[in-house]
Amino acid sequence: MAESVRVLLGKIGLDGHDRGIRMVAAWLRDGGTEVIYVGTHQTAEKIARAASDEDADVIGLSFGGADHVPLCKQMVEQMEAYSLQDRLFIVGGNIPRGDIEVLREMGVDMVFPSGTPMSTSVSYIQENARKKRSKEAK
Amino acid sequence: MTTKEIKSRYFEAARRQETWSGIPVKTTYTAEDVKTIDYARSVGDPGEYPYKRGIYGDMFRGRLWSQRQITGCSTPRLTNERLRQLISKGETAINVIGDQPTMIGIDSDHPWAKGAVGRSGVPIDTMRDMWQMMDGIPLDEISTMLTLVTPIAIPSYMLLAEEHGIPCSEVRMTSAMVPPVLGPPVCMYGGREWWFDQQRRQMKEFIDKLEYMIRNCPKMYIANYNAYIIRETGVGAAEEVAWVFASALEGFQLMAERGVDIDTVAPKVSFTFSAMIDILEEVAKFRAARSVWARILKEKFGAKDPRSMRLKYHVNTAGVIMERQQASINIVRAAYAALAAVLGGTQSLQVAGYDEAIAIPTEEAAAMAVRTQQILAHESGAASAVDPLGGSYYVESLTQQLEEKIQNILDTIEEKGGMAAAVSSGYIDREMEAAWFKYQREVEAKERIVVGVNEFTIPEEEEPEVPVYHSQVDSVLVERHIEDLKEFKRTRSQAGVKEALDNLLHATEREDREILQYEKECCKAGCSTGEVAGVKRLGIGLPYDPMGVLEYPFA
Repeated sequence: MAESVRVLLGKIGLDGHDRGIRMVAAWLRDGGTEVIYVGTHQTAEKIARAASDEDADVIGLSFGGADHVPLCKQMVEQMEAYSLQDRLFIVGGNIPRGDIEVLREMGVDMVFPSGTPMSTSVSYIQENARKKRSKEAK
Repeated sequence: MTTKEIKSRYFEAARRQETWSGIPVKTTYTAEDVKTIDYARSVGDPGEYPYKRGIYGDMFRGRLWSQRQITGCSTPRLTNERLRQLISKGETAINVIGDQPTMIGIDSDHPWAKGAVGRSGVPIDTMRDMWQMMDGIPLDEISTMLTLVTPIAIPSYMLLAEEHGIPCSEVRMTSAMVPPVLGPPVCMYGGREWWFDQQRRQMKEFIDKLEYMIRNCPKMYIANYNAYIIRETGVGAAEEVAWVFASALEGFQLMAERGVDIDTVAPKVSFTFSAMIDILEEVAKFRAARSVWARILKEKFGAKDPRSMRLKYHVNTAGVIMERQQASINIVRAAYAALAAVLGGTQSLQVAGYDEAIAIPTEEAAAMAVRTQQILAHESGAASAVDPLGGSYYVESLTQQLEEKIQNILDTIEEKGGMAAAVSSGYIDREMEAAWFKYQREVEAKERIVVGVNEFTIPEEEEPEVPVYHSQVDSVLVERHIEDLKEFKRTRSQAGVKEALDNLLHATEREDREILQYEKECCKAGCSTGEVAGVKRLGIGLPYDPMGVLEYPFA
């Protein structure tokens, strides 16, 4: 039996809208997933370091300040710096539709814009958390 | 769609049997439900204690509510253009909101601000930005609400008035604030780690400023307590009202300890509430809030002046009810919430743009919101008679139930040692989390229907394209704003800046009651949001930069 999936959630940058991500955290925990919630006002570097230290399978960020494009770029760079390219990187929040493709091309695995049912994002996380890692390991 | 589905839609019944906040709703309300309500004692005519039906006898027949759209575009100049557009469309008052760096107290040229400048509001780095934003807008004629949070907002506005030769006493301004005791659970602007330790100082400084303004600028209302942000977290109508009242009352208690008369301070206090989508519950909420407020002020604080007992407030239609899916239908949601605010007797109203769930409003969305207000004011008939729902069996019964709920929550908070203690202990956080979790569960289980979200949905690829504000703005303008700030910082009198900041630092350290005076001197000297906020942090023993990157440049 595999160890339980570890999901690291947090917010980088100045935006403090944290209801969405805290709800995702609560929802995942309720379903038995291990969540490390690091809070708001983090940096991409801190997130990457924490994900590395905690051996997280998933990194999830949430944005409500319309600054997701430059900040996700920083996150991708830090994930490379910490050799975390095999971890699932997901993003949620107020993301205009036109930006979803921009984020995907940058290296975000999945985007859950506001209004996505919790069950959708949570089951995606649970199903895909390890896929990328096991694929990269082969 | 199968014939069976069509048939079941035809016979579909109203499913919800409780209000948005969870108060059970019966099928029918009759005289039986209101028989214990004594009209003269617990309702009263509009303009009469306890003001349940309205704080003025004539309400909108005397003056319509202020139509006040929240505005904050990418730069001060773009914001000025938007303000002028909205005023020319008939907006009657203004409300400006800062971007994230401004709200958090750092400058546009801060390394962390990159990408956030002008994205969710206007950047106000120095007094020049305030002046540019307000250029050509007559300060003595317009009522302004500042939702900027930066410590330079109020002094910059005062200096702008002086520049135009308008006495401070003639300027009508309201400054929105996070109640000091409420801080972390609802405040998105950082400081969670130190807020609790600094609660007493936050509160004291706020009261110092309040006293200063009452003496010098009586039409500038700096104590606008924000309940909207409480409601946005997902709690119910009674919590929204009770928690914000508990915060305000704690301020009154401290004022009383200083020997300030309640009738001096209470008339200067106002609120910002939310208007959610459950129209009748919201109307009942506003009626209940007025009545609870009046009773507390009179019975508990011994207020004698009716102005102390009249609950004055601004309403933002809720942001959380605005959905990304099929965004244009949000026009209807905002209109219903606005109707609730008007039927509930508000003094001021902001209608959210239909693109609220996507970005700050485009010019078109903002204009739509102004027109929504005008239709309400002039076509709907909602503004014609005062408290038109007064006497409705259902609304009176709901009002009474909400009054009891609000009072019960206030009692609970008091038992916990007051609002500051309730926040510090984590009680408020836990209540909020439980509320939004429950809400989301109900949506996912379709116990609550949200059109376009969990019912009546369309495939993602059929979603109509919605214009996004930021994609319409030339990013060069934002870059230029940042460059201009850097240039200004290089060319101003460094000695003057240092002197003003040092004076503010010492004033903060000794908890000077005239702190606003020192902030004003800083603005005059050309100090920035980040510098003023930073020095104030230093003065209370915190790092200069909340992000831990910059050092105090004039140490």
